[in-house]
Amino acid sequence: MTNELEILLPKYFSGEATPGEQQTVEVWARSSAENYSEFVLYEVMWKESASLNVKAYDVYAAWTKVAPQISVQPKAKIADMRHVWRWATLAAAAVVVMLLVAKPFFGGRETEEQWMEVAAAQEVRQINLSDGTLVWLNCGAKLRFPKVFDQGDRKITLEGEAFFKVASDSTKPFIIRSDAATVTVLGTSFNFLVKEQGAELTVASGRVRFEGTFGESVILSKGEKGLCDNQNRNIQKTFNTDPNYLSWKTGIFEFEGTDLAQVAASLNTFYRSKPILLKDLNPGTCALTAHFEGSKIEAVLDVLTATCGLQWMEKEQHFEVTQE
Amino acid sequence: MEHNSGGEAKNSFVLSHPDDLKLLFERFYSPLCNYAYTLIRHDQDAEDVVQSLFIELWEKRSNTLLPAEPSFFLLRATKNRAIDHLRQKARTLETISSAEEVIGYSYDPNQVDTTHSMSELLPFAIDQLPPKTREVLLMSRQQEKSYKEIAAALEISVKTVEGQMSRAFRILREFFASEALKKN
Repeated sequence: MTNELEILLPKYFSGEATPGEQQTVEVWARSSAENYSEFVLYEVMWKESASLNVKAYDVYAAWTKVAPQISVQPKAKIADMRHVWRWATLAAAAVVVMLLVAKPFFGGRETEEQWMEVAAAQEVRQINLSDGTLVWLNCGAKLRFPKVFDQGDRKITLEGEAFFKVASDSTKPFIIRSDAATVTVLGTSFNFLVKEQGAELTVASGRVRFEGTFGESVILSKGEKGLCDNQNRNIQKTFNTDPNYLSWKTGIFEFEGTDLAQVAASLNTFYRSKPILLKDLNPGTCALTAHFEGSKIEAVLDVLTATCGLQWMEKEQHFEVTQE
Repeated sequence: MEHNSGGEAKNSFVLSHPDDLKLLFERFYSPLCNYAYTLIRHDQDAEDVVQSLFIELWEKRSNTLLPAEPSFFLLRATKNRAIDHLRQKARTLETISSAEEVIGYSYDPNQVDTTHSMSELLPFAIDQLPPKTREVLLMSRQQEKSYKEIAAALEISVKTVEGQMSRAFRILREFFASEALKKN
């Protein structure tokens, strides 16, 4: 169809066409069966689009409802609340201390330092900060930090997920700010995942103060996990039940009677470039107990399929696991 | 979640990172809500159905191969959920026939319909038009304004309105003529 007709057809149906243009359309429509069917398609589209109900739904508002339900890790058990309260009292004391320590450094000296920004797009990136702290950024994460930390604090900002191994310095607190929560530490290692409307923090060693945007905070120790939900103004302390929370960085996997679907989801956080697809396999097909450490994906698939009596095939964009 | 049972197109993909889902959500959330609305006729329920679809897509991510062009996959999944939703709503009412009267949509509970009519698909397709094109088309079809009135309201020339209308129908025509639609 010509450009001219693409303009004339909507004009024709909307009554905007001149008598001459109307004639052009009609002659064209009658000249071949193909043209006639195009003409009819336009006519149907025109009629069906009358008194339509099309509106722009609020994607942003909807995503803030969906995002908290999107978790990379299996759901952790919520710790006993009495336990949390005991920690909350301790945390209150820590807040006072931290505010006293931190106050002089939030006073606008930021501009004098030279800030850098590093983002990890498709691959995990490692960053060395000037104080010796190591940061591994997961895909999609972004870190802002001063080229050289000035004398007072060590202050940076994060979007997304990262693992931190903070160099110990009891005189200079290390503070990570994000839209969702603030983390304050002296020297420790932990995984910090910033999500829409919340954050997750899992401690590998040492102790960390984890504070929501609404002011409440908890102190977390090794093996503990904090869940911050800013929408419901709720910060919870739980135990980390996922041995693979760092697998996206380490490539080390620990499965113990883990359902195959969860195994594949965990593996796919590391083997991102060519993920695993379970094809036509129902949940509960197989529970896997295995340990993988820096293995090639093919070797992992060999173990997985041999154990579960399945087979795998390499496809163009993914690996497919199916029944034998 | 349905599988792509036909031949696997190049660049079909598996979700592995929350950002993968977010990209899909940003592109398809509103169009799919518009589609679900044509079936359910209730804004909040349409949104709930589409949100639960995306949550399920994530939960079943390692079992789901998404086609490179996922429109029709998502439309079919939305339709199945919308029908489930209507069926549940019907159960809370006395009989199916009275439910149909209330919700204004009839279906055979034993047969999941995976075809789409043009009137069902138009809001999905129109919502994805470029913003200016979408605005001009809706002023013409929803508000029944003339080219001249549209030009005046948007402070553009009548020639530009002609161009946008022609573009809108060209894109819609390509959408309805696409191979994937015929297969569905």
